[in-house]
Amino acid sequence: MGVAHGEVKAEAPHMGGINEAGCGRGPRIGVYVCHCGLNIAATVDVARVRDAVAGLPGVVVARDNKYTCSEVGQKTIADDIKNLNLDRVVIASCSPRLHERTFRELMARSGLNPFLLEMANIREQCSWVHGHDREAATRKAVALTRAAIARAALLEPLERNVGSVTKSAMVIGGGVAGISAALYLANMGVKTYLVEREPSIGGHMAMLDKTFPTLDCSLCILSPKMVEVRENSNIELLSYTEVRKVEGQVGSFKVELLRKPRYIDEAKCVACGLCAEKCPSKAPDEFNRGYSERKAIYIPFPQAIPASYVIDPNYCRYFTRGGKCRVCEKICERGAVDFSQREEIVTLDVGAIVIATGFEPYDASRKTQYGYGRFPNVITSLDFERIICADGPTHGKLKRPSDWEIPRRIAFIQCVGSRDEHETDGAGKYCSRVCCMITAKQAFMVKEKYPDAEVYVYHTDMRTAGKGFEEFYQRGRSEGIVFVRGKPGEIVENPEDHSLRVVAEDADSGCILDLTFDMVVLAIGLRPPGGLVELAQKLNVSRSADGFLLEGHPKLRPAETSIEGIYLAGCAQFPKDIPDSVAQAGCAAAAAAGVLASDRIEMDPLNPVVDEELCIGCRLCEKLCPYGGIKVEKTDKGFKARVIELACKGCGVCGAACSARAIKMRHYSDEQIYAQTAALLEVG
Amino acid sequence: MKMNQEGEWEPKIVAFLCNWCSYAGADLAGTSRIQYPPNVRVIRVPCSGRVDPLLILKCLQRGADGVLVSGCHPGDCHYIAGNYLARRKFAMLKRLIEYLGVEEGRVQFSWVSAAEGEKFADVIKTVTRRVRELGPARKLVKVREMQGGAGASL
Amino acid sequence: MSDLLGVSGIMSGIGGMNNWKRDSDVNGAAANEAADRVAQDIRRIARKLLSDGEVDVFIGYGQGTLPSRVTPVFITRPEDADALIWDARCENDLVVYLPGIEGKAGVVVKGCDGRALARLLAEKQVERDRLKIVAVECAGVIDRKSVKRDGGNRVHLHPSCQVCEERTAPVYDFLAGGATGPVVPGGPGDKSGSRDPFGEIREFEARASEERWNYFSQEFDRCILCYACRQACPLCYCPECFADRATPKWIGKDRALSDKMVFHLGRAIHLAGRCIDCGACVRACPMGIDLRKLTRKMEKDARELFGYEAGKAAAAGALPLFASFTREDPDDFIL
Repeated sequence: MGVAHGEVKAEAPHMGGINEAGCGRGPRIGVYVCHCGLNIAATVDVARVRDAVAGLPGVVVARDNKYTCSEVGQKTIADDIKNLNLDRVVIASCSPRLHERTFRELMARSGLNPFLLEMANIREQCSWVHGHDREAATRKAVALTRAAIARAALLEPLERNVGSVTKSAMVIGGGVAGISAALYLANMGVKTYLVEREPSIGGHMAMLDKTFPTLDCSLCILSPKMVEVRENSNIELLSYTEVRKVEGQVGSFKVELLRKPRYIDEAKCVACGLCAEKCPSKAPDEFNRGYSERKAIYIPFPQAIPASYVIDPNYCRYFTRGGKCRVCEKICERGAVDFSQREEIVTLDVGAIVIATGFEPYDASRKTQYGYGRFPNVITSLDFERIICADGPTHGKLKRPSDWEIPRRIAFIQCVGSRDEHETDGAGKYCSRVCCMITAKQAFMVKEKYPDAEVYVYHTDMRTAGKGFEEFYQRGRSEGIVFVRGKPGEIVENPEDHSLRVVAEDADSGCILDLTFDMVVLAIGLRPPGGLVELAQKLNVSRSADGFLLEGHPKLRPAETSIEGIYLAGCAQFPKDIPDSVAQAGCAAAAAAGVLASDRIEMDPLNPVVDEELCIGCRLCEKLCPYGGIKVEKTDKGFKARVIELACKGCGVCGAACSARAIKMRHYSDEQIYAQTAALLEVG
Repeated sequence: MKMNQEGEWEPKIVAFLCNWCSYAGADLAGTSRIQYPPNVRVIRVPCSGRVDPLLILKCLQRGADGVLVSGCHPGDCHYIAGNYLARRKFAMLKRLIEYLGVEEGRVQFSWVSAAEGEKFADVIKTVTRRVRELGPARKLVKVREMQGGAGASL
Repeated sequence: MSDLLGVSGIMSGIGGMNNWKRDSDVNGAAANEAADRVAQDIRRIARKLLSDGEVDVFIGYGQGTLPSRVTPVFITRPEDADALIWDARCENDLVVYLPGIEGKAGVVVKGCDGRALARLLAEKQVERDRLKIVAVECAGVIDRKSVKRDGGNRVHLHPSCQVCEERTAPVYDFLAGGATGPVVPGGPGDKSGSRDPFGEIREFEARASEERWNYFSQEFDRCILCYACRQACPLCYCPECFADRATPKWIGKDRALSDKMVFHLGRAIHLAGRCIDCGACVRACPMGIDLRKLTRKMEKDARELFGYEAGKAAAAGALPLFASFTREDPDDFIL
């Protein structure tokens, strides 16, 4: 940024002159040009902008303020509205996406209709992007401000639509973030539906052995939370259920869910396990990442909630062999097995939604140079968690998959699927944030179990930003873990003993390290989960370039989305560790509860209005509106379109498609937009 | 006609940006301080589907050297399908005015998401460069509104 | 320009067009015979519909006050059905009267009129169950303007008829005279391979941009903004046209070429996917402006880009062009 321009008067707002002449009965507009400290004033000649618009028709007063959004700045406007009888306000400052709400509230407090405000974006879309050209930036700022004035003169007062509030919430995703959000909400007295697509809640955290940097047992801390979900009378858990459709708006969403058949009556099953004992069909156990087997009738893990078995129709003989077997049905004393179950549609009415859909581990087989899937002893960090877990396939013994012998030399490779320019799907360029610490933890656990094991970590650089993280990493170093700054190009397997040769350059010493290991662990990144694209479309929320969901504001609204009433928790927004996920869940729950605390919700009234004289009753608008926001009804003048205000979202598609031009968009009318373009083009 | 300080012509370009994606993308370019030419002036609209072809024609008539309409990427429309409807309309409009003899590049369209600050800046650079190559608009411009009248053919 | 079925001096005394019938060659004779058969059938159908009370009014063609002209007639009594005629002078689109008629109506439609009707039905301007559609297999109508230009020596089909691909309405209740009339070479429904319905537009597109601009400048400069094109159009029925709006004033009233162009472009866009190329606008234009150069271009693009054909059998009743989309619509022009 450059320095302040000499002409900028930072002291006391400058009076640009009150222009009573020529205002007549027309609009009485006050114009406020903001310095935003030096954010605008360093590039745009604010005084010149002020003077260029001061004499325009309808402009009663034009001033510049150091910070228009400050207490002083707002008071100046409030005083002018009162003393000069202003009926419209134009503020040339930052993006309306930042402060439109602030200034609308100011207007309302000052007795003016908040929709008589217009903002000119001379910061994000002017001073910040034309920093090298003061003259051009100033001219552009003048043009944008003049356009805002032309539009302001045509603005009409609007009354907000008022909607009712359904006092319940839905949380999508039952990992640690979703569990936490649901518990926060429930404990605030909100009826909460927790929707999980898998047969049990728990998410990825349930698969971890220990958590960093404290080395608590993951399930030991998660499982009480899961039980709390089951016990809390405000929470209704809908497991094995997916979101099909979402309609409506903040305060009253209508949700359609699809409950998949478990073929077990959850209420009757006591998880005794007799059925699985007798079940003749085996399937790879996905909870153990395929390193062990489970039965076709199974419980995902012992602590699963709901504590109910589920039948996997892909392996169950009843389904694969046309109605035969039914052993489980015969053995179950409680008659919980129910092959007649079908997919079921469930509808919910909720006032707010929290998305906590988590992540998907990176598919390491995409990095063919590391041989994951081909070389048995190359595993991922998530596989490691299962292999070292007491509940895992080796009952807590660290063993390598090729021969189930104890590995003595272990390498970890960082940033597999993260910080990677070669990943072409748009994602993968970001740092997944947790993998460095996961590796630090796992390496430490190896050393803990086998102090004489040789452990190498190949990394890009170790990122240990978090409470107690750096200390934990240093502890690992002192235990003899070797950290090598350098990424191996490939892994070569010795087909005889399945040992793995890893060659890499140590960037710190410049040496080439050519080493052979018994096992290699790939620290895989966190990716947006499958189905997130479709879910985002159903909920109408935006995604960011990395594929995760876009927050309302990167700094100030990290747990909100672009849609009012829909909030974010955990890795759905971006990779994060457990405490951050829980913190964001609390934030999302608080925001959702805030909405649910009131009895009514005000919505911007940016709906169209239909001119019945012009409406030809062609029904096109009705067919086009995706929200059912406009309906054609028979009147005494024939068929005429009518707007359903609360359903309408104000997109303007009906207005643009109306061939008779009978639909006028409030706040974005043809006249208003046209006046704006005309003013933009008038300025030289 | 817009001149810069050196008395050279500077193109005037009007951009209609949808509120949810492209306008947010433009804001992101700002917060990321990505620099681009100052010739484009933005009008915020709720959706690219709201942009009436007549508004585009009126811009050209009033002396815009270029017009850009930018919306959400296909599939990402905040209003589900406004951008798909816009795409059809714009495809037809673009062909029509070019058939009339208006230069290719005067009227352009883009998809810019809320996360694409860099792409927004690139689009503005591309559009500005192209319009600069074309020179001042003459066709469809209403003579009495031409300041200086240079190049007016009507 | 196609010569309509040979010459014959039939247009002698133009203005009068006393003898407009074509009788000098075999095709002509056959066409005339077919037309007579159609006319008889129209009278029979009208008589029956009126006497059975199936319609309150029957809209067809009758002899005008000038020998060369026919005029729309509104028959309400069966005995008046004898006034109905059918021949190559029947250029009017009778469908335009339907929205204004209360009660049940019968109407005679050519291929183009039928397509316009299909659009009006889709746009809910006409109720199908109050309607009896009497289609005729059209052999094309005479272009009075070009006949006049030629001093009455040659008979020309209207330019729209020369590129018309479907000579019968996509929906009807009766086909007067049956489906046996001869296809006039170079006329409606001529599907002989060499004919490119958009040949003229393709040729024009191939010209240099400046040349096209100059052509349109000359054409539209003649426009006097009388809006006759709009009044004649069967699909221009908005209660208030954008051109008449005061706020915002889309079309300035100082008759600048720019305003005239914006009007015609605006009209072309409004008619995109709706114009069925009946040629009424061209017939109505007092300045002889080549309006079809724009509307045909829109037709061509709608077909090329979106496979959309206004009012054709396949598209009858479909959503308007600008109210539908596919995810695969062309995207290559977008940055």
